This record gives sequence, C-alpha cells and structure tokens, in this order.
Amino acid sequence: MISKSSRTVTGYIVLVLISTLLLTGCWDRHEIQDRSFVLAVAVDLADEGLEHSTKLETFAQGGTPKPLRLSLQVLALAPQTRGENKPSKTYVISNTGRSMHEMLRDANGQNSKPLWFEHIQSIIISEAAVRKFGLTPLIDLFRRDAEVRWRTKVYITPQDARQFLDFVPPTGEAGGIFMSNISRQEKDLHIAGTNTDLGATSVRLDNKTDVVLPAIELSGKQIKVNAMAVFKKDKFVEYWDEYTIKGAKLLLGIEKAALIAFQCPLHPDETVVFEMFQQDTTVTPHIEGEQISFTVDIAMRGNISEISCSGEHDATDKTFMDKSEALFAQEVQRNIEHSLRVMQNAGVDDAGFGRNLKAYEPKTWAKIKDRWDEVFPTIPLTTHVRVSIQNTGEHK
Amino acid sequence: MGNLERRTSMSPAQFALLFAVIGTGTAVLVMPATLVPVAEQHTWVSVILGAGLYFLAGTIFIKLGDCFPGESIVEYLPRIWGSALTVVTLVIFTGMILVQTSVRVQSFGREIVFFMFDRTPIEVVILSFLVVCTYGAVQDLGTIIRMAQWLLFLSAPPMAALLLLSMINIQFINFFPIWPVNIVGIVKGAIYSWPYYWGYEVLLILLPSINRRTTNLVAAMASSFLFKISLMLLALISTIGSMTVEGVKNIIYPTLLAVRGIELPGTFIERLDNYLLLSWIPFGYITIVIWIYIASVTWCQYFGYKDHRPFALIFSVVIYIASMSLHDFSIYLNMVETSRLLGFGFSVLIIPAAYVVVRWKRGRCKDDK
Repeated sequence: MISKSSRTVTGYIVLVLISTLLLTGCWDRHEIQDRSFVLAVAVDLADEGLEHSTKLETFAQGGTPKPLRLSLQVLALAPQTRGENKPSKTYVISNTGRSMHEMLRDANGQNSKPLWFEHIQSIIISEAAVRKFGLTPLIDLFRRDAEVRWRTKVYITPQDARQFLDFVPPTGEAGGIFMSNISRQEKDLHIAGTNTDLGATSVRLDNKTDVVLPAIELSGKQIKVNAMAVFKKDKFVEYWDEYTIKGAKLLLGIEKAALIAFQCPLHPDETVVFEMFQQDTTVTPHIEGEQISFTVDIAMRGNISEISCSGEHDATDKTFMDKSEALFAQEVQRNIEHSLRVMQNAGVDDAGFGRNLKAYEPKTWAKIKDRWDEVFPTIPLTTHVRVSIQNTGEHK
Repeated sequence: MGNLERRTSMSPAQFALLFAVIGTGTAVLVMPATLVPVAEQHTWVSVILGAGLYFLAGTIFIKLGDCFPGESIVEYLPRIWGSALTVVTLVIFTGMILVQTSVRVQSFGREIVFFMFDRTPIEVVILSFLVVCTYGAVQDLGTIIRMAQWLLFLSAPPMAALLLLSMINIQFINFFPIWPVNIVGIVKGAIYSWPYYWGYEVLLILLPSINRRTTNLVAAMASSFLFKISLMLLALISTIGSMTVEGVKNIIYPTLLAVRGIELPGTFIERLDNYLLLSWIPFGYITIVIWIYIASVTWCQYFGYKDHRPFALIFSVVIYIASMSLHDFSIYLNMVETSRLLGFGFSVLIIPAAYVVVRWKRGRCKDDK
C-alpha cells in the first residue's frame, strides 16, 4: 500500500519530469550560425542602367519606380582553428526599390540565412541619395527598428556608397567595423565623430535642428573620413572641411584634443603646434532690444607638441611661452570666427545658438523662432580665449 | 508540515516593500513617454506633485480604514453608503484593477514580442505570463509578500544602476528652459502620473492585515513614494538629458533608448537595454500577481468565502480576454486613457467622498489625532 506522502512525492516527481518537456530551450531562439550579420549598409540612387546591377537585384512592386539601391555588407561566418587569426570575410548583396524595408526583405532572397541587423556598425549614404530624398526617409527604418544600435555611425559620401562595402581593410577587420571605428577615435580625429551617430542624428531630426554627419571618401585601397556633410534640417547643403569643423567643435566646447598650429613669430617659415587636452567653454546669449549677440569664453589647457624650429628655441622660456599662449589664443579665435562665418553663410546653425537661446532666453526665442533662418546669419559673436601651456614634452 | 509562508499579517515596512514593487517597472520604462509630452521640461515637477497628490489619497485611505479598525472596505462600506452603492464601488474598484491590469498585460506582451521574442505570437506570450501570474496570485498573502521582497531586491538595483550609467550621455542644456512654467501641463502631468504611483489602493483590503505596533504606516508609505519618485526622476534625467524633450516626445520607450545609448569606451559593454528589460519583467510580474490577488480577495470577502483561489482563476481569464481585445493600437491607447481616468476618479474622488461621508456622520474617528 502506497502511503499518501509517497503518492505526493511521486506526483511532484512526475510533474517535474513532465515540465522538463516544456523547458527544452527557447523555441524563439536565433542560433548564431543560423544568422547572417549585416555589418554595414550603403544607400545609393539606383543606377540609370544596369552598370552595377544584375537583373535579380530588384523585385516586383506593383510597377512603382525603384529609385534607391540598398546594399548590405554581410559577415561570412567561418570556423577558425585555435590560434588562427584569419581576416574577416564579408560579401555584399544589393537590391533596388523605394522602401528600405521592402528592399531588405527581398534581399533575403539572395541569402541562405535570415539577415540580422543588430550588429550594423556603419550606414553609408551617397550624397546623390540625400540630395534627392533628404535624410529622414533614408534612415527612418533604422530609427524604428529595435535591433539597430543607437550608436551606429552614419556617413555621407560624394561617391557611390556601394563601393565602400567592398573595401577590405588592411587590419583584417570587417569593413563595416573598420569604418565605424574610425569615428570612435573621438580624441584623435579632425572631424566630429561623437554626437553624429544614428541616435544623435535622430534626436536632432526630432528637434528639427540642423544635422552634421561625417563624410567619407574612397580612393584606391584607402578610405578616409575627412569632412562633415552639413544639412539644413534634413536637406543636404554642403561639406565643411576639417578646419571649419575644428572651429565649430571649439565653439561648441566638444573638442577633445585639438591641434592648433601657428606660424613661429621668430621664424615665419616654421610652425609651432599646441595640443589641447582640456577645454571649458561658456556660450552666453545677450539681448539688447532687438539685437541678439553671443559671447564665447574658452579656457583651454594643453601641451606644446611640435616646434619645427626647435633648435632655435627654448620652449620653456617664459617669454616664448607667453608669446605662444597669446598666438595660440589668436589662432583659436580666428578658427572660430572662420567657422561661424561658414555656418552663417550656409545658414546652418551648428553652433547651437538657437538651442542656446531656447534654453536660456526662452521669451526671445519664442519671438524669433519662426524667422530664425533670417536672424542666425546676422548674429555677432565675441570670443575670449585663454590658453595655458602645461607642458612642452620631453625636449625644451 | 505547516506552510511557513502562510500569514495573515504584515508589518508597515513589509507593506512599504509591497507597495514599492507595484507599477514601478512601468514607471521607469513608460512614464517619460507619457508625461514628457504633457509637462515637457517640467515633468519632474509633475512627478513630485503627483506623488504628493496620490500620497494624500493614500493617507485618506488609511484614515478611512482607521475609522473601522480590523475591517476591510468590503465590510465597512455598506455602513457608509448602503449595500447598493457598496456593490457599485466594489465593481468600480475591481474594474479599475482589471482594466489597468489588462493594459499592463497587453503592454508586457507588446514589449516582450517587440524587443525579445519577435517570432512568438503575442497571445502565447500573454497566456504564459498570465499562467505564471495566476500561479502567484493563488498563493497566500505571506508568499506574495515574500516574492515581492525578493523581486524588489532582485530588480531595483540593476535598474537603478543602468539609469545611473546612462547619465554619461546627458547634456545639462537639455533640461532648460526652466521658465516659463507650463502650469496646466504640470497639473495634467501630475494627474496622469497615477498609473506610476498606483498600489496604495491595496490598503482598502490589506489594512486590517497590517500590524501597526511598530512603524508608522504613513511614514512607511511615504518611503515607498520616495523610492518611486527617485527612480522616476532618474529616468527623466536620463531620457531628457540624453535625448531632449522633443526627442523623448517622439520615442515610444525613451528609457530603453537612453540605456541603449550607453557605450563605455574600451569595453565590450553595449546593448544594455536588454538588461533593463530583464530587470523590468519581475516588477511587471509581481504587480499583476498582487492585483489579481487583491481583486480576488475583495469578492471572496464580499461573498463570504474563505478561499480566494477560484476568484483568482476567474479574474485571470477575464484579464486574458480583456488584454486580447487590446491588440489594436488605438484601442489600446483609449484603454490606457480610460484606466487612468478610472484610477484617478476612484482614488481622488470616490474614496475621499466616502471619508467625507464618514466624517460627516461620525465626526472624528476615535483614532484620529
């Protein structure tokens, strides 16, 4: 005769055993070997002819035009033996259409595994595409998709974007990762790598403020992030060079490690370089009647990093130091004024003056926000720069 | 062997922990998307004002209960405004619980499917979730209290840590302008904050179970409000600071995106939003458990039964059916609005009205100081 407690114990054991049938793992899992990781995306205008296309790179879509080409750089996962360090292999699949999502979905027809977007590192968009469609529709899908990272790098190129996906980095990294990592070197890059990724761009678009994105170019086997593409809201305007961007970053107080070069006062053919490593910037709006103006106070610290006529100088000499600090400050001021002039000519408020007014002078902002495009180019700026040299390196 | 978890009473501190878990995950995840479009830069004022408003409501709940020591609302309400109005009040109370719970369950299903199990039908996610919640709700009060404590200590630290970590992306200019103050928006935001503070309503049923010889119950409840305020302010600082007011207005789950934006240079740490979701699930679970339990005990007491479990099963089915009807986004949003109005009306109008009637009939209750 089985006792009541034995029956209870047996019942529990049976229940536990049955429940294991339901605990065999998550059926909604996606095994790593069953996915194709997309590392980079390129968006172009579709070719006029079939120069870069095959007839399979499109799909039936009710006869609607297919003005865009979407290309995906996919990681080719391959097993590696212990100690082996093979370069990453990637391949590119491409499609044409109007809707990004439709093109992505149809691109699955060219691949043996589902495409996975959680690891997209770089989105490269051709200038021609943003000129025709604006930025918002081209990145909308990536802003909505929960898989896509907020820190994905977005680049604009004056060339065809598709060709960047074929780029094979010398480091052995996958191209998408290589391109993304370029902009992650926020301290060592001439252009703005931070605050220009997908998340920051999305926030700027939500705020209806102007957008800047790093520009990338390819030449032979080299690529370079070398300028910024500038947008009025989401409409492409022009490119700004490194010097303009440096001034803008100094004005915004987001420069991490600017190099500031000036002509040696004693040897006009020679150059002295200051490497800034700390910057405190205060931008203050002033309202006098109808006139809006700004002052920017910058205190920066850094080291002298290079003197091309070093044999002729004692870099630790107080007179040289004082003169250098004044000349560095002048150069920073000149750089900022240059950048502001470029911004005002383009009508692109990358200086954040509008944002500053909205935050600290909301009543004035409420009056002028509708005609900000007219007001911004007329705003004067007074710049005060203080430079402190902290070190001169290993040599005098 | 006796069930060691079987209890019929709890301390004020245990009540504070129980109240602290109710709705807190939603408060962190969803609150910015609801309140920032209304109160904008001043949402933090709405959060504090809302806490004051609902703390006051909670205090009235306690004072009302104190007029009838040892009794729950089911027992004392007929003596305040008769049996017919009592049934109406209890139906509204249960309706508020069921509507808000159905909305939460639907919301849970949406978020899990959208962020984690995109190939699993939402019906399956909701059904499995409700089965587990129902299993929790058919337990004794002691077990539920213990679960709430464990899950609070399991979920709150990672949630707070992730919010703190997201501070690396904030920009102070995003919190300005401080002036002018949008008073209408702030008041509206305070009223709308009810779903993030709800939970004190359990006092209507559980007050007789609270052993108040040690800690002051009002002070204990205040500590829970402070806990909720702290997490909500952290969520606001994190979202507005990193994405601006306009950015938050345009995002469905701003807190998740603020945490997704964390990237620690030189480390592999990224996509931390998954961990925020994981820390939110226990809060969601225990919230539903507690409310199914409370709704069941309410009607169990009304009909004079000792076992609340059949009611828990019935209400779980009702919640499943109700949440299934909310798949359409516009219907879902309407129901969110309805549940907010029901909750606000019940807390700020109906129960305070009952208290006014008691005071009018009886003068000061003997425990009033």
